[in-house]
Amino acid sequence: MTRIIISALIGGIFHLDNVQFGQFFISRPSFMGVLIGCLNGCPIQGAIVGILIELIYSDFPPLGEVVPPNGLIAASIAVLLYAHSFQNVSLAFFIGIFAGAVYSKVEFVLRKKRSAWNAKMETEINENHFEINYWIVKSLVTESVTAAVFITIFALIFKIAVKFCDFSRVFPITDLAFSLVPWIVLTALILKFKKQVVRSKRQEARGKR
Amino acid sequence: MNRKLKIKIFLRLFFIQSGWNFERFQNIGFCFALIPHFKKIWPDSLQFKNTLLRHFGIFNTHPYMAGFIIGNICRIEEKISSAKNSEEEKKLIKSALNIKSALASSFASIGDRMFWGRITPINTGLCLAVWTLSGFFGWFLSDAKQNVSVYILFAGPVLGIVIAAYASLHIRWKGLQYGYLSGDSALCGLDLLPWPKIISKLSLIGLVLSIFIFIFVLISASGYYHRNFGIEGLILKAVLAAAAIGIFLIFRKLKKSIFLVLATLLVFSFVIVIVSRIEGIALIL
Repeated sequence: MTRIIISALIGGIFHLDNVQFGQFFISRPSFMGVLIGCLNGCPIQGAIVGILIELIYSDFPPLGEVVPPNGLIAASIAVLLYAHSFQNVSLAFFIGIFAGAVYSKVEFVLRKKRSAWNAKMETEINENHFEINYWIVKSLVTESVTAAVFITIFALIFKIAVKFCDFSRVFPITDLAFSLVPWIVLTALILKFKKQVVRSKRQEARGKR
Repeated sequence: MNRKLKIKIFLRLFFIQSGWNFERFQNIGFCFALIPHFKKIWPDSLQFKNTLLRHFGIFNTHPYMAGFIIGNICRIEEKISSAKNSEEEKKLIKSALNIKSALASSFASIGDRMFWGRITPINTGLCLAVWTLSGFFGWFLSDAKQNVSVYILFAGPVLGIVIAAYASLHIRWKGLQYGYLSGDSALCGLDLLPWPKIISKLSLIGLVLSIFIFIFVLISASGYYHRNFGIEGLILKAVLAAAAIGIFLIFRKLKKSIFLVLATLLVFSFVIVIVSRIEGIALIL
């Protein structure tokens, strides 16, 4: 339990790097997978789920208004599920992927709620008592705490569920699907860059004309 | 703008996306970065208030490229503060808002293509390359039991973090500096680097890297399955991998999400597991 909470708190802090502060890539799933894995005694499994989640989520760049699935949340939850619930990487990976996608909805709500801050801030500016540091800190704390709570709840739900359900029945299915995931993500990576190279060559050719 | 103020704005640039909201996107972070400069050029609270409100509208760009726009705005706001008459002031205010919105979309396009579209997946590729070359195959041979040093596990992602952090810090600092120097000029700092060339080279690097990893994985995996499960095991695994790639390519052509591919892969695996149990075939993972 203590390890789950500590891991969730670390996840919550590192989650700020995703959007709110810095964007130094320290929230990348491959790094978080190893880090949370080290804290929970399974760095290798953390690395495996982390990198595969990173490859899958690279299909969702954070362009414009898009709220992509959250790789850090997915990797943290997958590692915690492996370490404290299933002892099976494949099922933990698929549930992690699902959790990351669900968290994007939570993030969407947080961003939508922050829209209401604009009017309040404008009033403060007009009344000459605008404290922008307060709003920045509020935003950072809300994001961080929400992420930490989300990770904790998800990990605890499955920690309890594993006592009542026999998840080992689905292991052969998830194990087989998981063993095929690397082939899909590597193909996707090659095709992504191939498309980019073809497009830039076309643009170069147009430029020469 | 002196060096101390520049460093202050540069550090505040890390918060550009704090308070991101659907109504005005990065407006809170944008004002947060500019406040020290506004306070310096507008000691009068009314002017300061008006400037802040002016820039509190919609702002959205790539977080690493925001320095260019903030540098430009700093220079134009300085000009506004020293305008000779109200007509000149109005003209400069209009130009500041126009430049802000035009540059935001131009730099967003460059930043998205360069960082999210190229450097991020290259980083993932680099991590895979580091792990594969140091003998960690666990990420593609899920049943292979391996003991790998934690240092190797950290080395892969950390290498990418160092490269991306250096590139992002460099672009943010240079952007702020160059944006300020070229504020209100014709190109507004867009000419700092040959962006299309860099983007095109990054795509090529990514393609070479990903092909290299794929070939390396293919050879290593073939050797592993042949050694441990014989030619039959190798063929069975190859057929399953080809089927998975086939499913992915079909869904890609139909422009369906990768989540749907994963869901189909689970259904496919379910069918294979059932069939193998009925037929009594041992599956190789």
